[in-house]
Amino acid sequence: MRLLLVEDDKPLADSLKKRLAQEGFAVDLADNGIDAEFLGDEEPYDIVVLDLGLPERPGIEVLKHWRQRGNRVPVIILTARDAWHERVDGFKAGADDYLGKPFHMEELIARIHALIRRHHAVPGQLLRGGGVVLDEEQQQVRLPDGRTVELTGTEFRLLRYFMLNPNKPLSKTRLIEHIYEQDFDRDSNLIEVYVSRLRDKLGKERIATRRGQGYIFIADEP
Amino acid sequence: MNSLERSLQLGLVLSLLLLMGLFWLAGYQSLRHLTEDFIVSRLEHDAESLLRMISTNPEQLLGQQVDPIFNQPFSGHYYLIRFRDGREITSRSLWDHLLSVPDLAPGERKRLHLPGPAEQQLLVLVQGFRKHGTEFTLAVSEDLTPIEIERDRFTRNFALLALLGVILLLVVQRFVVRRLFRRLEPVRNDIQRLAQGEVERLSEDVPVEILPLVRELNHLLQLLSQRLERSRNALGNLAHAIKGPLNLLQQFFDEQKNCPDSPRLEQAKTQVRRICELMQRELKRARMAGTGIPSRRFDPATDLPDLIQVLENIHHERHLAIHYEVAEGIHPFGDHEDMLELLGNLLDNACKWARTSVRCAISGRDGKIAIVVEDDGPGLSRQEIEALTERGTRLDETKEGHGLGLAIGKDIVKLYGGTLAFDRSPELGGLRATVLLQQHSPR
Repeated sequence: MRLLLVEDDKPLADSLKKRLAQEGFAVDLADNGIDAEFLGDEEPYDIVVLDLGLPERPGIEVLKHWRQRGNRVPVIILTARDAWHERVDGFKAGADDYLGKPFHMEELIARIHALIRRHHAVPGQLLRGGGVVLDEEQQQVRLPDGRTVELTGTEFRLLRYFMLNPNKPLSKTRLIEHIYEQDFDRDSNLIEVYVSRLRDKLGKERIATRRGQGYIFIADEP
Repeated sequence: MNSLERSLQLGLVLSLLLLMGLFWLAGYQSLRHLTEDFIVSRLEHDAESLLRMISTNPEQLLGQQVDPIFNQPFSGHYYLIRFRDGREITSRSLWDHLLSVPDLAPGERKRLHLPGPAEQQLLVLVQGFRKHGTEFTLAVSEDLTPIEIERDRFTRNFALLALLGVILLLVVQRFVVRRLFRRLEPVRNDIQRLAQGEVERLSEDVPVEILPLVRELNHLLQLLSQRLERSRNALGNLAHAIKGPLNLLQQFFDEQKNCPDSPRLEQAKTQVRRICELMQRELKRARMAGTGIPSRRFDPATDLPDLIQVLENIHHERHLAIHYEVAEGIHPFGDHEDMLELLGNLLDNACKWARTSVRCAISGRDGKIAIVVEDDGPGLSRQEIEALTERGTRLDETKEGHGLGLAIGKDIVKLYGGTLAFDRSPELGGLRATVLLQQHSPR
């Protein structure tokens, strides 16, 4: 999951980035409105956490510009300006959720997860598919036979992206783009390694290879 | 009563009366002089023709020789000649009436008003002469009564006409003044619209006399809204600046959760939470506009759906049904931000507690605006409601912002001089909050 964090308060941004990375997000940070707008347009983020009071360009304008250009990336506004009229303006500008500062980390993370599921039209609280249930909090996976398997950080990110886009062929490039942050050294061989590790843990048939297209997560019930 | 119209009328009446009075007086005087001078010149002619007769033989001034008018009794035209020795020759017309004229030395001349026979008012010209060594006084007179009657009629008519003129002018003035003041009506309507927040400044398309007033007012309004805007912005910035560090502190305490419980840590955590809440409440309170400042009004027909949409998004996970209803004919009221804050807090609270549905209704009630927000949650006991009404105490520590939102709501309602009451919703069973706000009256 690629996440764009737009926050100009450095200590808060660092602390947030650390925590979000622990949650399995590949986090890019922008500390002003212009960079944020550029990154949001250029990179295929899965979610944006946007502060409103930004230097260079107000967050609300950044959001409006994205929406005007048809960029439908899910956006959570995270701001100290949490009066109701500001929330109304935020949603009118195209926000998907709104959280006022000061906030609890758990609430932000819960809202991010909820928004991602909502965006991918996943019903319920847990990601499931093909009898496999993903526990996002513990970063574990429960298999159809009831066994629970621990996942490493990258395995978890990869599986989550697969499960959010079930039965869709996903290219290696796309997988890399959504799993690693912007400045990561992108080596598509890495994906092959992690896919084979996931196949070891979930069973070979769960992730099929489509020649020339990439991989596909088979979500049909066994 | 301090009425411009009344003052104008009074001024006009007084000046017109003064003017007409002066005209009347001047007209009367000059008319009087004119007629008298005219009569006197006629009398001089009479005197001259008499003198001519006297010059031949004053002793033999006979009735036949003079103008017949002097022979007709009480004709109004009389003469009297009195010699030094007391002999008098009078016109036949004077009959037996005595004219008491003084003896004048030759060359002297007097004009007298004397009562004549048959209640006539006589103008008498008395002159002293010396002819052929005989000194005598000649008095010629004419009755003024017909002229005076004519003159009186004229002055009466003049006064009547003047009075009519004054009344007519007053009517015209009243009409003009009313028309003028009607041009002020748009200004008054404008001010009413301003009070209701439909416009933000007064139109400057007004008569030039009140333009300075309107401009001053606009200037003042602009100043007020700028000041509100500035202080709101400053508060927003302050909030933004403070909340960052506070957030870090809070996160720090959140991360200590797994550590063994230390009472001092707990204390510090509580204090941070208190700081957050106090700051939030005070900042929100300071941001409130209240009544009397021209700002954007809250229009329930368009603003409420937006707010409901926001709440549906925020509480998306809970799949709540939020119904709302705005009665017909509710005009925009209150400050846009204040009302959104009030409704947002009430609705947010209801959403937090509701099981499946929340209802919001805005309607008019006895000239007031009634806002009812109710939910189907567990509701509150009577004691809890009492505590809430009294102090806005925090009822549930686990749900963030509960109590605080209602406290802010209460602050807003108080600022608007309204009431906020809580009870159990008869239909949904949960908490029902009822706000009554004074409908802003134009006067």
